[in-house]
Amino acid sequence: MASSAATRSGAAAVKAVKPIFSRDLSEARRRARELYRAWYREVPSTVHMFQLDITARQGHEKLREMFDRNKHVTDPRVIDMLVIKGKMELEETINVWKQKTHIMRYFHETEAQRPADFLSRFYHGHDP
Amino acid sequence: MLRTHSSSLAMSVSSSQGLTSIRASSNMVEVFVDGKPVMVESGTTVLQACEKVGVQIPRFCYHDRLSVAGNCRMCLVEIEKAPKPVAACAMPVMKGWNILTNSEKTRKAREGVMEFLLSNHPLDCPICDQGGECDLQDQSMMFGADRSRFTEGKRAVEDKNIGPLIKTIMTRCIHCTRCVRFASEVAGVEDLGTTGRGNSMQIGTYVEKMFMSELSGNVIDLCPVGALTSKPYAFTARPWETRKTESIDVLDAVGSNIVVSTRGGEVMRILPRLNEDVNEEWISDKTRFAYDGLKRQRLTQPMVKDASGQLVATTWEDVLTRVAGALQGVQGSEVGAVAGGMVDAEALVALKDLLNRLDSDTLCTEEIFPMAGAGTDLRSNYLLNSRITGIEECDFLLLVGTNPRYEAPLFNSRIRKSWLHNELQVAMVGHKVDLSYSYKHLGETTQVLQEIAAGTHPFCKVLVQAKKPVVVLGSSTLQREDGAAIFKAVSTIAQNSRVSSGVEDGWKVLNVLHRVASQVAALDLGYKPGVNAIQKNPPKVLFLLGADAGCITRADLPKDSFIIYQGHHGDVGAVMADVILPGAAYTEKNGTYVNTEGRAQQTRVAVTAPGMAREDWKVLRAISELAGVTLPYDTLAEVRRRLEEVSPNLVRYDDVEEANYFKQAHELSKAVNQSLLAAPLVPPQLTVKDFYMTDPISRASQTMAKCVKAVTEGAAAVDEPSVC
Repeated sequence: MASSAATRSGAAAVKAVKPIFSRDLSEARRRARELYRAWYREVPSTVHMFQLDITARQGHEKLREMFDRNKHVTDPRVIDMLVIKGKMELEETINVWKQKTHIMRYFHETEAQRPADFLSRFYHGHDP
Repeated sequence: MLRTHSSSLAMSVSSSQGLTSIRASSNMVEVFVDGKPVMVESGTTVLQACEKVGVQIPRFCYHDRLSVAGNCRMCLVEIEKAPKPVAACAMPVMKGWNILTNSEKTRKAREGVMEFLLSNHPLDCPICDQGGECDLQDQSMMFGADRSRFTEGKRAVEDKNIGPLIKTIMTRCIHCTRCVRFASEVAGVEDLGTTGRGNSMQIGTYVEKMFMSELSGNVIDLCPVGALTSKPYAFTARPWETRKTESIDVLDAVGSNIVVSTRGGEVMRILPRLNEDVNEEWISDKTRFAYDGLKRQRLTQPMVKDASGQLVATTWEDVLTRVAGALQGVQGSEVGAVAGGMVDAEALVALKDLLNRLDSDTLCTEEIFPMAGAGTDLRSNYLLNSRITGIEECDFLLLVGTNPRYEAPLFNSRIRKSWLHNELQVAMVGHKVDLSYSYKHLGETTQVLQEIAAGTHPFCKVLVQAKKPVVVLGSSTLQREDGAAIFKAVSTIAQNSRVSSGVEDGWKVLNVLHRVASQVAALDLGYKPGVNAIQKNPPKVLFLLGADAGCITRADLPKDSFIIYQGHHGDVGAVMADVILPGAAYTEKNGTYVNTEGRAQQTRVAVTAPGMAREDWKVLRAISELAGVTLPYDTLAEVRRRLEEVSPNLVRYDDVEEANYFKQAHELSKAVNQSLLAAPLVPPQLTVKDFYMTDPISRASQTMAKCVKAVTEGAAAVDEPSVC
């Protein structure tokens, strides 16, 4: 017990690292929220600009799914890096530097689904 | 008793390392290698002393498993204050010598020797198979001069025909005599020799004779240049293009360590891997050259017998549904399985689990082992207990009904090594065969065996004097009807000689030499040896897992029985099957094989199985899922965990799990009440022509067929394409 408390305080003491943007978790989550709002507002004009065959609702659902994938992250520096990458993607989408295919990649439509259970993998081929 | 054993071990360790001070002054010598002091035992050569420090001296003729020749002169090194450079491989060190391995004189000597070697060496590198792995190329780059002064003409030598396996281009020979020494010392056939001297020296058999040893392919590895190369491998690949996969050979029960070289999804060649305990660095000819059988006669598609009786290719879904349907439609007592000789432990355990879940325990191996007495319940009954390295320590060996030369060539080479260097005495009860060493032939009848067991044979006097006796029983004798009685007799002989020799408890006398790679693993997993159980109670559904010895045929089974064959070659078993499931051969799966000593080793995937074939345990797992009794493992790790559950030694790779209870096994065998038949003990492989084609892979190999033809009709009879 005492040793685990010591290690916990020791671990807390070690965590003084140089931040990327946010100084603590709440600031990082604020940045993530702002990014989400920017993306949310951008989705309908993206659908219109790239002439995508999806509805805006589907775009919003996909946006939520992408953000939900990282909801377990607690390190502010990692959250900052993810926000930076999200902002880069947003910039490329707004300025139409991407193309239809790049946006649709988020939806994994043409990727063949790899079989998951033993029997389907057996029929499919030699899986290592 | 444990204490005396460990103290004797400690004594021997200290004496060999020279730790005690009294020993040090008489045994160890101090020499300097490039100024660095090193303590070596007196009697070690300069080359070995330098290797101890980590300096490798270039050489061509020296090989640490052969006798020293000292004729290439590449190992010349300067000793400080000595007038001439000395041949490091032959000169024993003297106290206080300073060996200069990189001085001006040493370098000049190496350049000079290299210049002389290259002066008569043909410019064959682009067409020579040894390019890329040639000692001459490597050492001339490292130690040779950069410019040539050669303006004369080179001599040429005729090629010799020494068989369908070894390609000889004797112009490239540098006369290191490694092949000559190998043939006379390790292989035991004194066929190769030197003729002439100086410029007109030739290595060969002098008369047109084939180098017919079961270990002949090893000269290909030994030859430092491209004079002796592999005929089947000629002009097929360069060593830097190939991927090397470490694996195990399963064509016999020794489990030699090999390296499978592949390129573009096909096996290009098989090379030996160093393993001091099993095969040193040799492999037999069958191991080395039978790989072309992996491409012929392969089962690549699942097949089903249609209405007209023809086997027709179909899909996995179709064939698995049929098999699952057949298994579900019968009771537990009507299902049986026979396992063949090259099946890995993962497939064996999957099959056993599958059949056990269907309420059946009729799982048999093709090889018989007598179940009377202790049978296969005590592991010591069916292993090579002394281990292959134990032969080097024993002083008397009795072989019973076996021809180790062709059944387990690497074991035989170890016996020969011990016979040559450690004065091992060998005696044999069985048909007189040509082993590569001399032995005392006691007779071939079972009467002789009985007399030795009873102590009335005149030979027993010699047996009693042995300090560390070993008895090896061939598994072919156990296939007879009186196998149990033979085992009892041999067990008695082993026990008596153990008692009379007074050897310590750790020494094991009784050994069994198997001929198939999967037998020990199958017996460890609980398979019934011999197809008796199936013959007594013929099942309606029979599962043949790689079973190609033809022990059970359609005639033994009821009229409408359903035979399922799972294997990799279309051999005897596939012909009589109703359903064929294509499996993987040993180069195409991660399998566990236990050799005859009880050492578990694993093969690795070098190429993927052809066509629709899958790994064997995966097929069985798929069948189980469709039959409703899904086996609890999906990945290789889980199967191996199951193997560990059954018998932990199966996954402790490269380690021998020793077996015990010899006395108890002997007591149980005494209760066996069978009488010996009068038939003589004849092993199935008598001459070299029986050696080459013994299992589905070697039977499908064209190279092995050429060998058989060459042995029966002569080397000239074999049709070779006439390229250089």
